[in-house]
Amino acid sequence: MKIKNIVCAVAVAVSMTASPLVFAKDVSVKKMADAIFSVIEADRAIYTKNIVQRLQNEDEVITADEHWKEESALILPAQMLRLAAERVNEKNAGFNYSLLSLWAINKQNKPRTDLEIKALNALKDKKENFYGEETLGGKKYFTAAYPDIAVSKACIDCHNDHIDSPKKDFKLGDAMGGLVIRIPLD
Amino acid sequence: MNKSFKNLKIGVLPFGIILTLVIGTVLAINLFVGDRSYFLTGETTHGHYQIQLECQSCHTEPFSTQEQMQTSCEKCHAEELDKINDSHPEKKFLDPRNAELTDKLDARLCTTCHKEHKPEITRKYGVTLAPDFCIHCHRDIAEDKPNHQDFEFKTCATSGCHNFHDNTMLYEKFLAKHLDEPKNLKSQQLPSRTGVKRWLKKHKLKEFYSVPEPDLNFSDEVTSIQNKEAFDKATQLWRLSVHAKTNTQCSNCHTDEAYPSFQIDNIESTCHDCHKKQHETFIQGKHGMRLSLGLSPISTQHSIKQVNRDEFKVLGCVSCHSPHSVNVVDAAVDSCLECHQDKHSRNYKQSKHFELWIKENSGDLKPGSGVSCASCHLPRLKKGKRVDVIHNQNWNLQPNTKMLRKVCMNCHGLEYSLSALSDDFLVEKNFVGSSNYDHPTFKLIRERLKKKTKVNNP
Repeated sequence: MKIKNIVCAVAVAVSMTASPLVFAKDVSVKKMADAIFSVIEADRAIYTKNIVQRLQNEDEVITADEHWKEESALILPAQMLRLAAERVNEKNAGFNYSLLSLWAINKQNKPRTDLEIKALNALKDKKENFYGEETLGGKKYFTAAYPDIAVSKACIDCHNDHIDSPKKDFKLGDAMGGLVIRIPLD
Repeated sequence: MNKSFKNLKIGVLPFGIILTLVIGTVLAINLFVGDRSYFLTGETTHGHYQIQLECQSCHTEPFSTQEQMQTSCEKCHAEELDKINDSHPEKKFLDPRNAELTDKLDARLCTTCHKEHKPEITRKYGVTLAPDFCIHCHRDIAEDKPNHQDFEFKTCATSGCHNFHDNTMLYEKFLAKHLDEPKNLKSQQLPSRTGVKRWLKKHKLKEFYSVPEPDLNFSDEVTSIQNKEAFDKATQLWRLSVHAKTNTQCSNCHTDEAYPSFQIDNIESTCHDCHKKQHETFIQGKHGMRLSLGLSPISTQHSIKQVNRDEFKVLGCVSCHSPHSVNVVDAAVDSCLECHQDKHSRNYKQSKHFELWIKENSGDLKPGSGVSCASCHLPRLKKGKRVDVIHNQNWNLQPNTKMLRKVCMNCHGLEYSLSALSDDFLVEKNFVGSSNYDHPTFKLIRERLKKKTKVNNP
């Protein structure tokens, strides 16, 4: 009887401590990724529409250029995102993100891991968020991918006209790629 | 038999202990009192030999971790890498999606490619990887760039093609802008130095002061001047110098708060009071890097380069700039050639560059028309209205294409300049003659621009 009580108490204790873990893994991590995405997406949309689209394409006062330092130009929206992502990497902030595309101009931004390839192909058709887990360099990650929608003419004009772009018929509202966020689970 | 073996063992034991103690003592003396040279594991590269016995400047702890070593590398090199917009910065490889790549070649650490004290595997620029190392990450390059399929991976870093860190010369707009430029540009002139102009502006003057009398009279009390003849020679040179015109007096260099009575003989420590930028860049370069660690200055005896060792020369401000005449013309050629004796240096006086330098200094050509050693290796860099002479030669020394924008293209077209810099034989001859080398970069960029025109105007 005594032993039975102890077993029951241990089982209750384990279930009580285990449930927040399940919650953290299945819900909180996803929520955290969604929240990070909403901030990145908002900053990106505002920079693209209110800075690049307005100053380069509408008012024509300054251009955006890959070699922005050299040309005294605006940073391209994709570079803005990448530079911020690199800064987050340097700060070891507990997550990483990158902007990828099946039709990347810079080939280093093509999907590379199995999950990235699966996610980018799924986003292309459905424009729905994609969630999964993967192991990279011996570490387990929660990986979320969000469609990167063409929000302004500046996006599609640049990609459709670029010599290295493998796709030249983007339209406003198309998913041009995906933003991939990774949160370590170990 | 057994007894004699036992006796031998007893005899060997104290000998072993004594030998260990002797070796230990010798090593300890070398480490704590001596020059630490017994602990050098191999010859050091041309970039670090100057400080090779100051072990802790890189190995901050006795058994430094890779991260600690990385911090040491970045302490001296991070600023320059940031300036040139490094193509492979550490932060690019911190994303876990690169884990597979960094497993093969950990580009987050400098020591992956630059291992010190390994002369047997050290190549140009201190690289200790095989020349085809790019293949680890760029194996599929021919798929993205079919025009690269005939190139071997060991040729990626050919001069005028790709550099691992500084690729500013390959920026497409830059190449497109300067294609088809003539060999010699219409205007061939280096930027004029602005230090004197800025001094006049700062002191709200339109012209220099008339030459004043020196504020030091020869007297027996002055210990740093040995005789009247030396004193007269020094003041005579000073009267003709820019220091006299700016009323930079004897007391400015030979006295300070601690030594108010002209006791300062070695004025090195006072130069940077006024010449801050020059000093700052000098101690970053190979000539002055020992000073940045508080060590004695480098000398002709320290140098591993082909220098004249017949005359012992210690390198500091005054070894190149005569302290009283402050002659920048001598400092730009003669001072260099007093030490440097390699083929490139020895051939300089046969070059067109030297011919122009002579004409400029005799007044036959306008200032900035000649090319001295300093014009290329301690270049004048223009930023806004200000032109500074950069005393850190590392900024544009290796790979030599770093020189292209800052130096060569003040006078020459891009293609001509790049072809010349890529021609090792011509560099050794100090550009006596001309290069017939057609650099493949230009064939590729022309094809690309043609394709671009077709895409945009189908």
